[in-house]
Amino acid sequence: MEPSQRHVRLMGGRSNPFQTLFALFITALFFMFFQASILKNLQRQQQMLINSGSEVHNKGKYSHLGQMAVAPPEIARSVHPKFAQKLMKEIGMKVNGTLLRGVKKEHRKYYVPSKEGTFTCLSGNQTVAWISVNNDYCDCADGSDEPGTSACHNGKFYCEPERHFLPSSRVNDGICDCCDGSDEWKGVTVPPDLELPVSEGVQLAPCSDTCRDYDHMKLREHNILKEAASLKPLYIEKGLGHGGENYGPNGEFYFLTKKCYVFKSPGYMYELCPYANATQNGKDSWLIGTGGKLEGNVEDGYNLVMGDGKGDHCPQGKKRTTIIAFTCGVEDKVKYVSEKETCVYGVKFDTPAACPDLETIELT
Amino acid sequence: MFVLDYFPTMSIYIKQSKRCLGFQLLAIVFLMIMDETEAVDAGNFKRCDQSAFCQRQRNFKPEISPYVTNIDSLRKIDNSHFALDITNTQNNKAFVLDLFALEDSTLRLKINEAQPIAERYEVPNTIEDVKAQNMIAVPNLKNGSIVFHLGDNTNIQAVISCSPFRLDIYDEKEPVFSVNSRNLMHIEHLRQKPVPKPHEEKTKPEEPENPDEEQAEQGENEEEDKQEEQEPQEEEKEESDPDDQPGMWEETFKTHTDSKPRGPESIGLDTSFVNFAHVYGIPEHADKMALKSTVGSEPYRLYNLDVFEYELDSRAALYGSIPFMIGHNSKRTVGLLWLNAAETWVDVDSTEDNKGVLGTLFGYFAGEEAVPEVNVHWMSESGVIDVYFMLGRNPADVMRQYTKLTGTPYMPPMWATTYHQSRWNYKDEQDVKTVDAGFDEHDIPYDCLWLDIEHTDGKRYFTWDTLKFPDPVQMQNALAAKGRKMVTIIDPHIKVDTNYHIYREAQNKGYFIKNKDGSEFKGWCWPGDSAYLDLTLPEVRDWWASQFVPEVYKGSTLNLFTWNDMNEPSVFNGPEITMHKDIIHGAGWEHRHVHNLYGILLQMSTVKGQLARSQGNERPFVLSRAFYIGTQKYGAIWTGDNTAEWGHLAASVPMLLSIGLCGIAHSGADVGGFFKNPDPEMLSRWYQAAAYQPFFRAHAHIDTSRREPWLYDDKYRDIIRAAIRERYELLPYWYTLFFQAHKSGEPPMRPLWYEFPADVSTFDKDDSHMVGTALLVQPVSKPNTQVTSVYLPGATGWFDVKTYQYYPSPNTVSISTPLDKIAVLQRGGTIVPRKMRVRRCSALMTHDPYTLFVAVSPQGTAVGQLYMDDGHTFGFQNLKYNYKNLLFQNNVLISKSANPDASWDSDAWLERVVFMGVSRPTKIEMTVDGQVHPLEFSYESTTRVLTVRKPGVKMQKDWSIAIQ
Repeated sequence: MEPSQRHVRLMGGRSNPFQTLFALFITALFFMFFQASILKNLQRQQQMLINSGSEVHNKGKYSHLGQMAVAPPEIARSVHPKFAQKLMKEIGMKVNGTLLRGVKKEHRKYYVPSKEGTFTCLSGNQTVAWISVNNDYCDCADGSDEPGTSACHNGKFYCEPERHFLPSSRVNDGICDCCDGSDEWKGVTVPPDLELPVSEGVQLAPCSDTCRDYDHMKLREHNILKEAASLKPLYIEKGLGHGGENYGPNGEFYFLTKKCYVFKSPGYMYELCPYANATQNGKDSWLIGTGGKLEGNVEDGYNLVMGDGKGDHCPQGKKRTTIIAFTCGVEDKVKYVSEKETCVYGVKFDTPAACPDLETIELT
Repeated sequence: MFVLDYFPTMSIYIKQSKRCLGFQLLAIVFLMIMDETEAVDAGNFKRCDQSAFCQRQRNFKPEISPYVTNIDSLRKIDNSHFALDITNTQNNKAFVLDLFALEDSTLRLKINEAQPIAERYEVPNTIEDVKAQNMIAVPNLKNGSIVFHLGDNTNIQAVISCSPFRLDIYDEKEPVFSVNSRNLMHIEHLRQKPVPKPHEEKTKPEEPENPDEEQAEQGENEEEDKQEEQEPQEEEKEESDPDDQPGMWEETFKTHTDSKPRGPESIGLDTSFVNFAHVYGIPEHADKMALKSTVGSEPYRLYNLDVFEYELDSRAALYGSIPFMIGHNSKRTVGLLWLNAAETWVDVDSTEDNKGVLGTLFGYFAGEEAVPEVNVHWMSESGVIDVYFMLGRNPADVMRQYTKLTGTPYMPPMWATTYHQSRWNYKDEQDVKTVDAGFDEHDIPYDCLWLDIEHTDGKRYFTWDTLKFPDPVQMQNALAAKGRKMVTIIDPHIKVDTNYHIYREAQNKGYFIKNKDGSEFKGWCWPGDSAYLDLTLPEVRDWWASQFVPEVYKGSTLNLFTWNDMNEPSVFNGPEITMHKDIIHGAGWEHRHVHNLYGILLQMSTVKGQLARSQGNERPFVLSRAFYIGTQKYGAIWTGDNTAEWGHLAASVPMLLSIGLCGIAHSGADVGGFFKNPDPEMLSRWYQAAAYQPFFRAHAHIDTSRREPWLYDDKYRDIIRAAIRERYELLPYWYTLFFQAHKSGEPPMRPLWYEFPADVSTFDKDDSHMVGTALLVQPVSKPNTQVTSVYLPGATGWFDVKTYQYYPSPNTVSISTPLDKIAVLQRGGTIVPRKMRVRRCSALMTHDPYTLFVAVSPQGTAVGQLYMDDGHTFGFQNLKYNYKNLLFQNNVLISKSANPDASWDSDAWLERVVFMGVSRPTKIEMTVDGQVHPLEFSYESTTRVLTVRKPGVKMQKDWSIAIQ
């Protein structure tokens, strides 16, 4: 698919004329605002250049012996206000004739040609020709000249609607990684002779826009997180006086010592009593974990290691250990148990106790 | 009684599997009783003195060989084939010698009994159709010899001396091989079993009718009895009976008795490599690459065995057997194949000697100065003498000759040449999903995830544990949708269970190996009681192959490939953890005759099954643990159950080099070591080493801790990621090497001497190796190694691939090897293609651009090749490929199709060219389709590296880049 077509579609190629008009209006507003900010930036940058009078180093690293496929735009040479306006229109949209892809909005201001027609790599210590930006060849050691291609091994592509970076190895590889398909702008497809199967969760280019699903999913997750986090104070209340004693900073995990939880896997029935004991019941019954030591923190996640050496022992002399990995969830629930290595059992466990504070969630 | 009988093997069984039905408690009890022995229990496996035929052959040392031939018996069978009669003068047994001249400087010598009382076993399916070449025979009555001249290779002559028999092979009048010059040829003729008691009525029809013969046999026996001094009392009466030496008709090892219904039938032959001090090959042994003298110690043993926690520096048998040996000196490389599938012991005796072999030559060699020589004594339990001599003359010639005879390596699908992730066991679908996601989360590429035995329903292969793997198709598709693959394990032992469709069907058809009494043979393996398929029968192999179509192998897809383990075969309660030798296979041969073939037959049938499921369109991939002559045709092998120890990391290099020299291009060792837990430093170093070995798979025992790379500190995770990415960058080079191996047998991983055949100091080097012609790799195999001393051969200099630092050569240099780096150097005069954009897996890199690394020699030249195809079909056999010759000379880099008729359409383009060792240019121009374009470039004067930026040309085109 042509990138421009995609762009049009994404920007509001809808059938309802009223909607279209509305969208145009909003877009126009956005542009005006954006142009103003860019102009400001440009002026500031030029001013800085003039003031410092510094030579950009690494200039002419590549000898320009001939014109490559795309000529450096005239506007990059000397930013006449008239051209600057034209440029401004394109900033955030186009660089060297193609969309400036993979750049986080607040970073777009850096993707501006200098008066000399150069681009300063984001690390700040290397300058390359402006034409080098997103031209599918890695020039900056930090990979910042190719935010929208796969050319730099250390490059990052910003997936705007999902608000996170993808490694540049995901760009134009034939698999849609960003919900709007923007990482697959070039239309590269996986060789059809490979006959890759269809599988849920893997979308092959050409991509369709799944951001609505993504947003729904994120919203759902966010709501669950909020709901779960709103229950955390209850846990803190129950654990009053146990803060810092192996039950979390506010004693929030203490409440889990009051109950046992059952999980049926296809082969076994597990009974988990956090901080006390864990058993696996099948043809035989094994004590797979005892005691409990809480590790981790709310950002990286909490683990409860139930391996104080009183579990049933294993053929190799070690004792069975259960490690409960807590994740933030609305109710206390075992999600999954597996013997991840011999005599070490991994448990995934949802609980409000593992949630961040409600305020921190609402901030995001 | 039962338990005591099987105690040693039982313990192995238990230590390897904690999941076996019903054995869990027993295991604990046993392990509490037993001391934990960490290494192999050597007592489970035979020494030569515990093998009757090895003893008999090793003790056969006559002053003069009893075997004679005569010129009168010479007969021409056809233009390339002559025959002679041979007689054992001690017992008048008659033999027939056949000498064949084969294409490409190869000779074949075959000696069989003239009229054996039963057929002797000859190995089937192993030697390819090779062309013959003309040969003429010139008898010399004066000295009783016959000189054979080859038609196509007039430099090569074979000389047979008649009395005693010996064969000498010359190249340009220099002796190269000498057969029976040590008088060790010894063929035990087939005979009737003597009747035990002489008091019985003498009415047996089997009574030898020729009294002379009887006398002769007695003579032979007496001589041999002198060496068998230890059994005087009971044998006294029958001392004169030649058919009743110890162990001839029955042999007991530990609790197992081998009934030997055919009696003795072993063969022995000495073959000397004249003028050679170095011989290589005869894998599989956990030992140095250069074979050691076995005088006064154990011979090398070739008998496919499942050895638990094998020891290093040992000539004991392991999982695979290839009786092929290469001799190399600074002038010449030669090869010798001992075609036999039975248990074989090989004595190697390196001497400097001008008396023994050369003293009696006919003026071809005036042996004044001492000449090194390696005398090799081949001893096999059964079969016929069948030896192929390959005259080289350089290493690549020998590999071509050997793989012409035994088949060239298979062309692996691209994904199989990448990184594989395995563990005993990924537990369930959730585990698979998590591990797969972990690679993506940490941006570590991998192409294939492996499932070991626990994925099955109770070790019933071709089934799934439906509790843990309820939807295997969906699971495979989830990986395959991103271009990845899966492998499941399929072993040849079949659980005895009439509700198991594979067992039931094979049983109904009578496809299992049977005991002597005709009942089904049952051995213990992972599932408990198991039956073993009789793969020597073609119908069994066809039936096995038919099991791989998705309609039959439920839950499989075309993205699922196969791992054949335990195919030595491993029988936990059998003698030496394998099958009883006196078991009869379908065609009437005992297991002893075919033992070393069993594993390859499984792999061959599995390959056939994979071919069938895609109507022959898709390249198969099958990994096997056991291997044999010709395994390279079918797939990859690995070095079995190694250990997470530095020594095992170091041993992977000589082991894989030996295997590669015996034709198997695709081989590897479990990254990290199968047993025990590697510390993160060792694991990092192991990844760095294995990234430069042909088959690159991490695997671990079920009792080890999890080792996915992201489970370690970021520092180690990043090093492991970097090592894996290096492999992916180099895939174009590896793939080209695999194609070249497929065409001409050259091993991708090869010893230094292969590339620098005249440099004597490389002949013993096995701590470093070459990848192709261009890269020298010296892994770190000791902790805390900040600096590695590297020997750099040749005169064209070397460039560090990471720093571009130049090292003149030949020289020994110190290279900085902090934890994130091992010594990898590109040889001056070579061109290496890479893809610098590493993706999740190789399939997604198909369209990505190439970078060429041109290491310019002091003469200003460099050469290389690049092979490209679709990576998975057989289209390349129909010219759907691009094979580019890359040449840099006179300051012009030229890419030209080696075969202009071949073409495969690809979008892949040339991203950059990095020249190492050039001066700053003023101008660079590219010429494509007659058009000239200037190119941009940058130059680093400190390293003399020139980077030519974005030529942009489609890689499949012919083009040139001129530097001015």
